[in-house]
Amino acid sequence: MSLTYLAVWALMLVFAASAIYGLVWAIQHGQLRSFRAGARSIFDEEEPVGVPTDALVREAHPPGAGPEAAPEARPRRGAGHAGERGTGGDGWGLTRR
Amino acid sequence: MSRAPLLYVGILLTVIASSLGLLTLPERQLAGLEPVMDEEGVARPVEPGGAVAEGRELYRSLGCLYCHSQQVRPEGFGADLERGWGERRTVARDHIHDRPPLLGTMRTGPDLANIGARQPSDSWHYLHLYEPTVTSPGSIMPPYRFLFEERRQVLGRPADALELPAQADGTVRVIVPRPEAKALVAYLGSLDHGYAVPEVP
Amino acid sequence: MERKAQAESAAVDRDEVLRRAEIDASCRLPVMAFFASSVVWLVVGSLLALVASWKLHSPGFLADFSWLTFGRVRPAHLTVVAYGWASMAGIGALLWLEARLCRAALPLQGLLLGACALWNVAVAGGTIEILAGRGTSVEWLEIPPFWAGLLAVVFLLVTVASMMMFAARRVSHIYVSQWYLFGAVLWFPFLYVMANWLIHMNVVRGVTQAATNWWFAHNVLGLWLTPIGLAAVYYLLPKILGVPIYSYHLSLLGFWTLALFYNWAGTHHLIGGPLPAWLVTVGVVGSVMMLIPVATVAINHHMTTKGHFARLKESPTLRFTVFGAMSYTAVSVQGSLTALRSVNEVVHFTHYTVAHAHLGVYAFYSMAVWAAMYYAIPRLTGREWPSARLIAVHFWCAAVGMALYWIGLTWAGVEQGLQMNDADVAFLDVVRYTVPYLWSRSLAGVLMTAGHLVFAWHLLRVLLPGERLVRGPALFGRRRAAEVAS
Repeated sequence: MSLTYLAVWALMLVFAASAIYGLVWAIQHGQLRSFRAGARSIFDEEEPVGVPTDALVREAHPPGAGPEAAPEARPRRGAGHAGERGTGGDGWGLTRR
Repeated sequence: MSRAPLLYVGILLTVIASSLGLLTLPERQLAGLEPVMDEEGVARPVEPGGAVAEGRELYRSLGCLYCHSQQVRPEGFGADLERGWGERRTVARDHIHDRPPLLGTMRTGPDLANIGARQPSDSWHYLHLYEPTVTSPGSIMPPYRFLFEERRQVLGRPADALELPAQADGTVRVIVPRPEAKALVAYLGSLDHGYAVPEVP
Repeated sequence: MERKAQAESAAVDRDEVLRRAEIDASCRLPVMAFFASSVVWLVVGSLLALVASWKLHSPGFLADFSWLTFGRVRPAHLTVVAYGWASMAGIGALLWLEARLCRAALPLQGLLLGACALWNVAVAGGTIEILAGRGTSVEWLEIPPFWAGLLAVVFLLVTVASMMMFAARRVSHIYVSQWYLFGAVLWFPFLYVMANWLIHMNVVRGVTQAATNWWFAHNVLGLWLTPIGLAAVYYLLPKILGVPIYSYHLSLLGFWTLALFYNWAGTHHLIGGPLPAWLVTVGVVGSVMMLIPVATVAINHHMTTKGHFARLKESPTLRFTVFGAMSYTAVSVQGSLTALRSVNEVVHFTHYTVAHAHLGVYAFYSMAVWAAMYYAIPRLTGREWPSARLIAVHFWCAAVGMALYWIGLTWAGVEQGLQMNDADVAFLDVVRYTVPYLWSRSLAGVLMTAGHLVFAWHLLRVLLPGERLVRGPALFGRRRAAEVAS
């Protein structure tokens, strides 16, 4: 009984250790060199880093409706709504496969 | 990560590994379990047949499992034995005929692994199914009145009529179990894991 | 590397580039069909839940209809919310997220619409069969084999559509949400077909069927709903805040440890049961090891949101997302602790487990999927949610209802377990003790259902023709401004 417990724990710890070791190895050997950039892959020129979405209403604000309508906090309209394209964006910053 | 094949293989391997470990291995380990002979030479557990098998299907159909377990936990783990829910813990061998086993995960009501031995009276079961609070005050089990029918004009009292308390106006309704109720009670009566097994000394 | 990627991107032929709005438009019909169906099932499932909950403290309620006996309404509730609400909402979110992340238009739109219709038929058929007494009494697999087979066949279309988008993807990097979504569309059909086949065709026998049952039932949460919920959070949190995920390395570790350990955790539902000891031990250890992926996800989400919590006040999507993400941590840590034998000895077989299941599927998963819906639906339909106040009502009904539900049943469950483990306490006294808490559950259910009805009504207003189109998203505290702008 306790032997089973030990064996299963040992096996699972080997799993965990190998997963962590695999990650460390991959980082150290440059396998993930451009990996962090992947976190930015959901952003592009239409909806760039630093600009919240889900706050599109601010543009719909009448000018001067509140202090939060300050220009630097004002997100670009973007393609928030289907059928309404952003006018200034030049695509998505794509990479060819 | 840009390696789609690695992702694909990893996702499938992890789930295949667990299905081999948790399903295939125990199936192999338990495949050889056979019934045991009790003192009277009856092979236990008994394969359900006839009314017992019908009753078991009704137990599934009515969803009894959602409030009643059918497993007795081992000594020192919970108080199943102390509550008298069984004389020994249940083992894999007890379920070799069960398709599927009705172990259950909830005890809104008590465990039924040995209810046939603990409550051998059929008339108790009929009363309890018809109106649970008659036999068990405070019970929140639903009444299964749809498993019974009321006899209107009867000459004499049918042998299987329920012994219900008189109503407010003093009359006693004549309620008899339908075949479904009889099958269900036959199944409940068959639930008895009291026989000796080699796994539990 | 990043620079290089951007330089390359500038050279991409503009015609090949699908704009976000075009991708969203390609998803519109199938995804909205899945979303709308799921909300109908949510309402049906809530009503079934109320009936079941009411019967537990007032057993005479609707007692003379065999179709509505507790043991049928309860599995019907589970089937409707798991396969109707959660899975259909999940498929909608999954298809939309995949299309956006692959930057590919949604393929097979007509077929997926058909799949949505058939899925509805299968859930309806399965539920009616359960109420009519032909449910299987195998938890989470109550749908009789015929309708289950239909579900499995229909699901293959979702897998194929996902694969096609994946093959046609225009970004070489596979974002963290995609790992989870890719996992979900492969894991679910494997689990569902295997479990139905092994159990209903009696390929495995005896207690191995019970092991199969809980291998499936636990994984349907862990490897189907959880990946969709996490994929939504991993996408929405950074998108709403405009901040990349805090540690991308941690998210990689989190994904693979989840894939490794969640798989093995299911047999903790059988602790104390008549199964080989090693089988249950594996489940216990696998459950405890789940602390690793959970910690990575919790750290990642918290650190990403840190410094932006003030935005909870204004963004409805963020509020649902953060509630869901925090509940994921809570439910997972609770799950790991519950798998410990000493804890399980008390709380197994009690209402505690019911509360735990709702913390997972409701407080985490449903909240995360609502977040995805609140974010996606205006972008899919081009019509904004008409009222920030209705969103707030939905949120608070769900949040307060869930809190009440969890606190009441968890407390009742622990006490119920302690009393049941004391043979001196009569069983019926244990039952009597729980009754007030069963009332509190019904009250919580009424609150949650009210929230669902508000949500359904709100969605109807978005979908109904003739409803005034409000431009700009609904934000808390800005309702007036939004309406003025229209």
